[in-house]
Amino acid sequence: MESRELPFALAHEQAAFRLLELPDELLALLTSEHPPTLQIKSKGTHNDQASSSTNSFAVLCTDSKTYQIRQVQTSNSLHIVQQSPVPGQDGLKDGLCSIATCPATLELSANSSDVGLDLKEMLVRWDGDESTKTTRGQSREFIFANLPASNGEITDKWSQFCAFEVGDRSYTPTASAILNAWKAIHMAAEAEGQDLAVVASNPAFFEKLAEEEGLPAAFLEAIRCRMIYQNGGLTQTTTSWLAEVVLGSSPGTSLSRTVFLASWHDLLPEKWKTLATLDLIKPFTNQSDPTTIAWRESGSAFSIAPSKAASSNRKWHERFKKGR
Amino acid sequence: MPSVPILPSSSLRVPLNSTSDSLPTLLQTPSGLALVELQATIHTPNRVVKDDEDVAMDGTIPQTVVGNLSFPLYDPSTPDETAWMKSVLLYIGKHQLLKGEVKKLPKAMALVRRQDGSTSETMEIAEIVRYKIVFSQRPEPVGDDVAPST
Repeated sequence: MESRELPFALAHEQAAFRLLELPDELLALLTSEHPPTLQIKSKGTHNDQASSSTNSFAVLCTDSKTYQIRQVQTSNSLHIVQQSPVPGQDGLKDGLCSIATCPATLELSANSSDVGLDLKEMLVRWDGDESTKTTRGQSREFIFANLPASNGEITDKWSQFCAFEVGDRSYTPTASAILNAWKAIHMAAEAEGQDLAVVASNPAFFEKLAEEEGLPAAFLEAIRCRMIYQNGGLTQTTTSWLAEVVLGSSPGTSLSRTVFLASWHDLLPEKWKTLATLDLIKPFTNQSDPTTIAWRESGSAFSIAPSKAASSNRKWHERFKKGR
Repeated sequence: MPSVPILPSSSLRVPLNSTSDSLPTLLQTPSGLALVELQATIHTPNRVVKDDEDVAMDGTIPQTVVGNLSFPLYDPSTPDETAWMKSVLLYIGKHQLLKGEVKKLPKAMALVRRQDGSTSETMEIAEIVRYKIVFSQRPEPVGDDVAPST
């Protein structure tokens, strides 16, 4: 048969396009019934100097996943052509018009940065004392827009750290601050004869307590959300988390096992005490010494110092950068 | 600008326009955008003003026709055959011929652009393409008599 010929034209006005390579799971998302809005996030430039662990790159985010973006130059020229009528000798004809040329493509790869670590760097540590509030700190909105990770991952870490916002600044409470607040919550619930597991679904209880104790309402709400952080296992989640709080609020890196167990049990309502076993906290503790309890490396929301030191030591190029 | 949204394009869900049959079915995309890769740069003579006037009259975008593309082995009556993909010809002007083929992209590509009429940084995915036409050879010279006329 006679093959069709298509006039090939170059548009005078070149459009600006970016070519984005799609991993299979992203392709599936975008071609689904309800494709999501993606986000490109990059770290704000004014933060670059302060950050030690985050490189200044751009990431592409779905609701719950983050991809690192890498720009790859192409040696050939890639034309984006549009099927459009092209003028020929005898009037308009179906043809192809190159409307853009792309010198590079964007490749996506799995995100290698630690969302928790990045978030922690943007939060102000709050030890429960009103006077430590500084002028530093960013709003929750700013952090979500500037932290190079998906909103889902940030929300997850935000809840895990009991982060809260007061007056456009975001804080992460220290373990001691949580410990004191928890004691107040526990006492108030007992005084009212209420089950803590039931109280967790009652924001008004926490609001009232915040007022009585002179604590930020957002802080107690963050604790309430931490209790229901994982669906279903409220008592187990909270019991395990309180072990982290006890460990985190002790000054050393390890704690005598008897002291630890006593403080942990003190925090729990009678019904929960049977849950508080060493097995429960195995995932984040080092129990190799039978007389003590210590953090497993970079295990928790509070074990900040060791994990940070370990990660910055491994990044030799950043040490070079500092030395320059 | 720290955070830029990329909207999925509404056109991605629009069914193929059956009247637009200029490209083989495989290369057709909902919004009519496709990828062509050249191991060459196309230089066009300086634009003539008359050009722009002409196209403004017939409603097309200002453009310069540089050649002709053809799929010599493609038969629209057997769209499922793939043998035609091995041969694509692009004549540039009257004296140069590029020989190429249609290749499936290892990964689908999203064509992302700034959203029409948007003043903010909002981007949109204009198209998702799965195939490209590749001309990986340098242009070959051809005589006047061989090249088809536009």
